[in-house]
Amino acid sequence: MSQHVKNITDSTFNDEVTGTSGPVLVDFWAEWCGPCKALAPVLNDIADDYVDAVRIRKINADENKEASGRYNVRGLPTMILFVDGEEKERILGLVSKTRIAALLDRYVEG
Amino acid sequence: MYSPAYLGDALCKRQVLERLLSLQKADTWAMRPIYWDGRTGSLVGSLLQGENLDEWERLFGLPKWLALAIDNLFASGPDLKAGLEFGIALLDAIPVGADMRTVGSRVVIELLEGLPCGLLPIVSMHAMTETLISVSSLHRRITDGGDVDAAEWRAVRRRAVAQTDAVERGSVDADVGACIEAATWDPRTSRTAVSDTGRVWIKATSDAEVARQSGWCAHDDERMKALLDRLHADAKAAGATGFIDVFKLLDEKHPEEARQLKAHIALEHACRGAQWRKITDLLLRVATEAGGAVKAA
Repeated sequence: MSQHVKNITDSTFNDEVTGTSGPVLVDFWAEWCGPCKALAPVLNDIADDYVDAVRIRKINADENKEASGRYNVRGLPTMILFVDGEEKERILGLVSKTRIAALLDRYVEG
Repeated sequence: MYSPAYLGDALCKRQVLERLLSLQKADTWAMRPIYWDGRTGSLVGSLLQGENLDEWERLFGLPKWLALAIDNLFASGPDLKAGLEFGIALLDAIPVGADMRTVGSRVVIELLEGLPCGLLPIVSMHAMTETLISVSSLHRRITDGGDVDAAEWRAVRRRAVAQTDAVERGSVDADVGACIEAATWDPRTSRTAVSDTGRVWIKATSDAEVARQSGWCAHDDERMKALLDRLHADAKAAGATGFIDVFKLLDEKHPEEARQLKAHIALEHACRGAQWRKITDLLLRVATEAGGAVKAA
């Protein structure tokens, strides 16, 4: 995993996501989810490219049901972009780096 | 920092291949890219006994995009044996001392417009063809020894995304657009450029082949999904609790649709396997042709 990607939990969700400023991309994943595993290296690549602009966080949806429930995560992988603690966008399923970058660019290019 | 393949050292290559063969006997594989948990791992993760691709470059003189391409194809092959044979064959095909810096772009060019793999025969929109050629020409500039500004990549990426967004979701055009989009990165600096393009290329070309052979299209996907959703809702309304097997219900209540779906899934599976073979053959060919190799003593 990239040193710029950090695992979070229900108990750290506020400190890492909703209680912070700036953009945070949260990847909801699970151990049994094949597309989640295929997405992991793409997110690592994104994390390295956007190191000064966006924080990338991963949360295991099975082990952290409070956050998954609160944000109505119904399929995996689900990526939710929070800006200043508020949900702005979400991407469902395995997508290319281009799609994630296109979404982030809308928020980091001003 | 540039290193020739296997650091220009035949012993390095031999050690990689020997380690792979011993891993093959140990059979402790995990089917997920760039993964190592201390006991099981992906092909690359097991070789490295880690997930740090800086080490892949440092120890073996091989580019990061190649690690991702190997592991993605290893994990998505028809079976473990095929994936493993491909990984071993590819690493064996790379000449000691080869300059791999532009090989990633060569692979992408082949996937976009080469023969027999290119997407041109299945692109139906003129504007998309133009974008495909633009993306390909940027990669060609790299293979010719030049460079491409980040702004140029961004511009073509925006155009490609806008074109994909303008076509019917789930269509072959959308798959082709997604493939062109994925290719809008320089593999020398973006390690997922080749693996992402390859993954979407397999989907685009196999969906096109499915449509050609059976006529199945995005509309059929939607029709089948709506039917399954309805079966699920009906079962729930009738008091079903717990897991509802909608495919069993489809078999019982709509045998003709069930037959169509099974035939479609089987054809899709066969086409994905065929396209996986094509892309692995392409990688083997391009790797074998990688230039700058040191002649064996």
